[in-house]
Amino acid sequence: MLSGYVVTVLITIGIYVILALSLNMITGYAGQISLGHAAFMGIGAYTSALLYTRAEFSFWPAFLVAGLVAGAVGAVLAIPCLRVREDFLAITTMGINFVVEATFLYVPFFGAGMGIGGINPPSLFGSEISKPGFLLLVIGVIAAVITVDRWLARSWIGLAWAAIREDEAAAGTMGIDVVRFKVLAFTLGSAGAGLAGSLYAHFLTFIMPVNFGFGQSIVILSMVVFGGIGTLRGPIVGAILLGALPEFSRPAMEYRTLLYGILLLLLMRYQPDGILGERSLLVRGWHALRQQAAPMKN
Amino acid sequence: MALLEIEHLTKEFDGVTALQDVSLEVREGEILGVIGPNGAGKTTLFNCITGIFTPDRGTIRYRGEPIQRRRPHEIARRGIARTFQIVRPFPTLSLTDNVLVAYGHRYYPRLRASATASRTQASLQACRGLLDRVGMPAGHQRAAGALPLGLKKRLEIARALALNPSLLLLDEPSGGLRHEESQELLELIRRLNQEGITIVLIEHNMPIVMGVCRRLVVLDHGIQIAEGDPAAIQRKES
Repeated sequence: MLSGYVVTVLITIGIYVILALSLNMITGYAGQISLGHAAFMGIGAYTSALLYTRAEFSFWPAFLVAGLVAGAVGAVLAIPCLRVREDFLAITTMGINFVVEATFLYVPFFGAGMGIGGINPPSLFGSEISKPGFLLLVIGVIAAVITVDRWLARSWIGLAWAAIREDEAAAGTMGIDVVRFKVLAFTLGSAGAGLAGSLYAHFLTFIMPVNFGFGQSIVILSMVVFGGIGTLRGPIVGAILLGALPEFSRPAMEYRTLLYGILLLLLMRYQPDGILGERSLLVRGWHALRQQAAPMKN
Repeated sequence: MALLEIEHLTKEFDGVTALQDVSLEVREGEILGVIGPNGAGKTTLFNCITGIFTPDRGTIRYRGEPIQRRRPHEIARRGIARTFQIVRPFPTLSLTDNVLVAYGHRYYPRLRASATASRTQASLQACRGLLDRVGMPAGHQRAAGALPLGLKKRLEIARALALNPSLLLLDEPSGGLRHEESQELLELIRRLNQEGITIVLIEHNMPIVMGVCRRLVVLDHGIQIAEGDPAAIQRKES
């Protein structure tokens, strides 16, 4: 049996996997840089927490509504993001993160600096689910997100996103409604972050604005970039490795932001596609090995 | 009958006039050449027709419908396709996927349709057919970014054809190509025109212009200085 500590770490990592996969839809597939993903995680967490503690919703509907609300807010906030690109988009999304965090921090309705407590873990058939049960729930959500991810990648939506990522103007002249597909990316990605936020709230049982700040957005983005942006495996592996790192060493926990910063700089210099991106050392090595092995099989 | 009618088209950038009061028409079935020195406003004209730029004044009518305020995807879906002066295939996508992006124009308007699978046997076959039609050698799974220039230009034409266009705007298709490549391209342009596609061609290569265009428009500093049949314009120039 896994110890309670290990389960806690695995749940945290699992929530990061959902966050990384959802950010990957916006930044990896559609090519829209976002430095504000934690804001949508926060919107999901607060929606779920408020519905649970004040409107007496049970976890399950609160969880779904959290995804819907975060997705809807993502769609609305995508509109100011449509007029800007690259660096300006980075600044805009960062600004959105600060505004959302400040709203949680200064508006009493959201519990202000004290946050919201008394959020219980989900119940199933009348009894609260155990930690391993919660882990299974997180794994189930990851499986659902991966299913949606694969389905999108095979669809015309995935292709339209790829075209927008590579060359927005050319994509428009290919019949792609750039605005619509960008909004769709922000909506789906934000909805995913909202679901992760709801899980986070019901796992920690209390939330505070600082959980959803700019630093958190950078952590999520680091995971995506570290693993290999624009792939499915990259964000998953990135979230697992970077999520587990602080558990293995205390200093890594204390200097987490510094460490991630250095890691990102090194990656930009030596492996710009991340450790598992299409052109990364590992993936190219793997392809070369397979090619060598292929003739031997025949 | 005019497929495209442009009237009094003006486009300025920060006080610099790129196009000034340009009026011209593109007739169904023809190959119209647009010539002029660098900075004459030729590419700006294409960008206005395809909705990348919104003109400051004037109208652009396609099959009688004003399109000057329409967005690029709406214009593309009406059957106006283009290539770019500086080739811009989607570099990390395979050749097939590059064409597939444009082939998808019939699915993008409805969310439900765009959520269906893109790489079906039918769509892949259609895209391979288009790549063959422009004479692209085998190896359709390669990334487009690694292609030599001549093939990138062919790929752009294949991609444009996937929109099933009635009007094809080619922006300096022979730019940077060797003589033989230009000749092959000339043949391709002729063939597409014979298949019923109306073509507007921006070109510096005069033998190509003289070889395929039945009418020419000459732009200089955003002003239309001549229009007519190529021989007459050449006489005037010399």
